[in-house]
Amino acid sequence: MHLDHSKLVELLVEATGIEKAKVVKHLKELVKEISQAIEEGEAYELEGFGIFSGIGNNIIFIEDAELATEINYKYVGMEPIELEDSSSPEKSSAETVQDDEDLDEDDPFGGLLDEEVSEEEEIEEEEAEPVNTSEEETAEEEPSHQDTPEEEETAETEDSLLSETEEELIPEEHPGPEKWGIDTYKDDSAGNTFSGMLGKYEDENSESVDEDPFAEETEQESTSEDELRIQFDAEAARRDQQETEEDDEDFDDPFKGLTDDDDPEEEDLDEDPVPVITNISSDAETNKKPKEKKREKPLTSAKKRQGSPAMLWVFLIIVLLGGGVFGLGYFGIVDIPGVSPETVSTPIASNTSATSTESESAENQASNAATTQQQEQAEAVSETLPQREEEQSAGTPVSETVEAEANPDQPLYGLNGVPLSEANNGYTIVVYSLSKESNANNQKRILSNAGFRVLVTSQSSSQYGRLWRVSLGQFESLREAALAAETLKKPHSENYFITKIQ
Amino acid sequence: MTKEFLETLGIVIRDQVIMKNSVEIKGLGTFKAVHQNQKQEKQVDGTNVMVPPNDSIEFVSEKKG
Repeated sequence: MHLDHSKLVELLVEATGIEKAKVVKHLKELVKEISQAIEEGEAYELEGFGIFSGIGNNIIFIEDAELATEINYKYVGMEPIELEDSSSPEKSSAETVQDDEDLDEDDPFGGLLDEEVSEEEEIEEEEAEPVNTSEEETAEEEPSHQDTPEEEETAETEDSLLSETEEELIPEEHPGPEKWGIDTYKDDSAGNTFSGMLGKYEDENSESVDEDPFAEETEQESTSEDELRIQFDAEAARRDQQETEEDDEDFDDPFKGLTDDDDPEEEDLDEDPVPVITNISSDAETNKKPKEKKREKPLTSAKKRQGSPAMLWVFLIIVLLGGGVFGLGYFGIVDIPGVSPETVSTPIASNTSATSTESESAENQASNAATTQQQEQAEAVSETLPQREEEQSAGTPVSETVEAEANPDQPLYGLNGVPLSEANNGYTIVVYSLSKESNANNQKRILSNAGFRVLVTSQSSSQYGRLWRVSLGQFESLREAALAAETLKKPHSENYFITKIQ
Repeated sequence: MTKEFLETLGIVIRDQVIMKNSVEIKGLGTFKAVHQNQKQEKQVDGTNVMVPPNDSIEFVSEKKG
């Protein structure tokens, strides 16, 4: 759009509130002063705007640094990105490091480039705004991305690079045998711990099982078959009990320990052999008690040596409770951040609702897309006006990427699909830099409906406020992003730039 | 011609240039925006650098000598 002199006068009348005649007069005076200065061989400076100078009758204009900064507010924080050396893609990482060091020594811009590589915040600050530019400019500049022979060389070596990366990734996917070794070690150690604690108990049980002298004594001293039957029955019951104890060592011990602790007869341990013999010979009924005492002696002693079986139960209860809570969270019964599937699916739900609203408003938005872009540009300009005098500082980029429901077949990187948080370590194509988040979200919806993988990030600056950048795609390398950018259609193909994802 | 007028003139021209509009001042010339896309450049040391985009003001004088 071209503003001629009359339109400029109207704008000045609106902006200054001065009468139109005075504005025209002021403009004439300005032109006259500039012409006189140039005729005298001097330059005329408008503070904060630029310098008019002359070469012969021709007037040249040198824009002021402040004006140049304000015009490029959209690209605040952008720095040159060093590309990978396409001529030698098979270089090792050590060689590339050496190259970088050489750059630091030889290239005066090497330090700046290294800062970009190391500090992602500065790299992220690149941005673009799709503004109608002349077709001549784009026609001249776009071939620079495609037709360079270096990129063709990288295209030839891309397959080899991909194969190398795949080879590197393959071993990472397989779980190492150490993992199983750890599990088995854990099982063994667990068994050892329990068996170690129960080992003495088992030994003593085995001693109690091998109480053949006791049996021999009872056989020798018993006179009646009833007594022998009672004794054998008691021994059989005791052996059965021992077998069950060996099968369920872990679970039976603590209870027995508790029950044995309650027995007041433990104090008579030293006197047990004698009453056994006397009870067997005298009375059958009383004979059972000393036998039970004999059985209980090693048990209680073993349980005393085990230490605190209650600790095992506390440990088991904690493990069971923890597992139960994790299970409840895993199945969504209890909302646990990071475990419950509901928390993961929250952004999915929001995106699905967003997509539903997108479909509803897609027609209206598509029809008003061009007008909204112009409005956003005007808003961005108007918002920068009151803030231009503020002190400029490095913006703090804030990633606004939201992961939506992704197709399992969707590749990690690409132009289309749904943004993936795992792919935020790559590059993206910025197509909008907007001053309002709502406008950025509207553009995001429109582009998402078109099938693009859309990211919205914010770039804050004390001078220009916060800019919301809408970008397309997630790409592993800058070259892939550049190739994908060439496939974009108007208006995105006319004005875009590639930057690293925050 | 006050200082405020000159400042306002600069702001008006700047805003129009940001919006990719060209502004003509009769007797002086025309201001218009020039956009340079992001492009690759090969440095002297052989490294390739992606240069960020840039907008600038181009002034076309009415008088040409």
